Amino acid sequence: MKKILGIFLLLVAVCVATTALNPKFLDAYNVQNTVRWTSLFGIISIGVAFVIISGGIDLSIGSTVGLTGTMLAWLLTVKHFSVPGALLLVFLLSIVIGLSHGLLITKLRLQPFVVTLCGLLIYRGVARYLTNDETLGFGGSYNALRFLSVGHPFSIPFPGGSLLVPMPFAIMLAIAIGAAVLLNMTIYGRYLLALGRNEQAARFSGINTNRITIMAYLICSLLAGLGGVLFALDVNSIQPSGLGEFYELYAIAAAVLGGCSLRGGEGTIVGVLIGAAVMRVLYNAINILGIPTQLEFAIIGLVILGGVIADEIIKRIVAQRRARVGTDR
Amino acid sequence: MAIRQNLSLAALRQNSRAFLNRRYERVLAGEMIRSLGIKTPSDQQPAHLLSGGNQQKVVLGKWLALKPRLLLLDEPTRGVDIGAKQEIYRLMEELAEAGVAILFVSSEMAEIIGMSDRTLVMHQGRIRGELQRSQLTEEAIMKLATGGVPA
Repeated sequence: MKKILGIFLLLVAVCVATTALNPKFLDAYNVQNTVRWTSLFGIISIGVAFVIISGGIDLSIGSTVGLTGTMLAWLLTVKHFSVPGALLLVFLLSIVIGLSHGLLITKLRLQPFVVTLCGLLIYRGVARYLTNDETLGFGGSYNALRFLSVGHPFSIPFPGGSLLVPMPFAIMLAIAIGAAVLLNMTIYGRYLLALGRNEQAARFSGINTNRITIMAYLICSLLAGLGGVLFALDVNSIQPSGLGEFYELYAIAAAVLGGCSLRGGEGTIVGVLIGAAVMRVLYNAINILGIPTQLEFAIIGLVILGGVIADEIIKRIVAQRRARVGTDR
Repeated sequence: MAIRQNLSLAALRQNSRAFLNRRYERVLAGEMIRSLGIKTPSDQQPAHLLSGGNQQKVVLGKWLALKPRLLLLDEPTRGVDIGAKQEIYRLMEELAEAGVAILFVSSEMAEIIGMSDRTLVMHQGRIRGELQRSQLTEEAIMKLATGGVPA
């Protein structure tokens, strides 16, 4: 709880500051959009959180999003697959991607950074080759499917009208609950945390660390695949070279902001979601405050850096105080 | 990782297939801390902050949670201070008393002579001879360990 308090305060601070500078931030439409994009990024961030907690890293998420999103559009509009058929193939592809990462990292003992960096290059290349680098779209069709991304299943009262709750929020919520249960209430979650803390000790405690690691990469790629489907349905103008670009960095930043240590063994799902929200709110703030968009990356980078520095300083002060109390006794 | 979680790590699968049994973990940690005499302010203490001897007891407790009938120990007292060593010896005796077979590896003469009922002495990767409790002397062990034949 203490660990996510800092990032939660950062989120509140950014929201309050943005509202003070431009009240439009709280318009129902703007909130809706921010929630929808936070949810989409939340889904892929939860995925990478599992890998980061295991002590690994996945740099291929953005390209996986690109490939699965492109594949979906290509299968439906160019190859005229049925919707269930296309979805099935896309999810099979995500499973194959996650499994190969996991197997290469555990059985061949390759470094996660290298394996997934190659993934980043390979999947992007395949996406561009498949489609001849042509932009794809669903046009006005596939509305039932697009409901998953742009639909609003229900609304809640909101000052000045009602707020339509975006479908990705409902999907993200279901995934977050499932992920939190998996991480905190199951043997798998306990093993994952033990593995991330100290792989050797985990193995010596009789844990099949390879299986736990493979599962983490599988979860990550599967959620990236789901993210790819939803992002593609959302933008409806799918550029094979651009869809999902840099998303792995957004996802990793959200996870780290949310309290996942890159050394492994630490992290909460709620923290990761708050981290994703900070990223999206910042992005939104830059847009509606009229800050030149060229500065976008610089500002997001600076705020994250500031958050991480503040977090580290608070941690040290707490540790010092605790040490002092310890010697007084 | 806190002692409580650490102690249950090996036995988790014996107790449930998928979900954690938190009550079992709490009870197990209390039992092990008491019966092994682990010195710690609480079962929430991270295991790496314990002394070497107490860490060793946590490792032992982790496997005792499986209620084994045979226990293999490789140098159970290496890197452990003298007081904690005595406690580990006492635990081994209690376990043997309770019917657990213990096979342990040691390179400490006093420990072998003090603890074992039957000793197999190795030299260059091969078993050189077997000594019963009545035959256990430092001399007999050394002779076998250096490749000599038993007297």
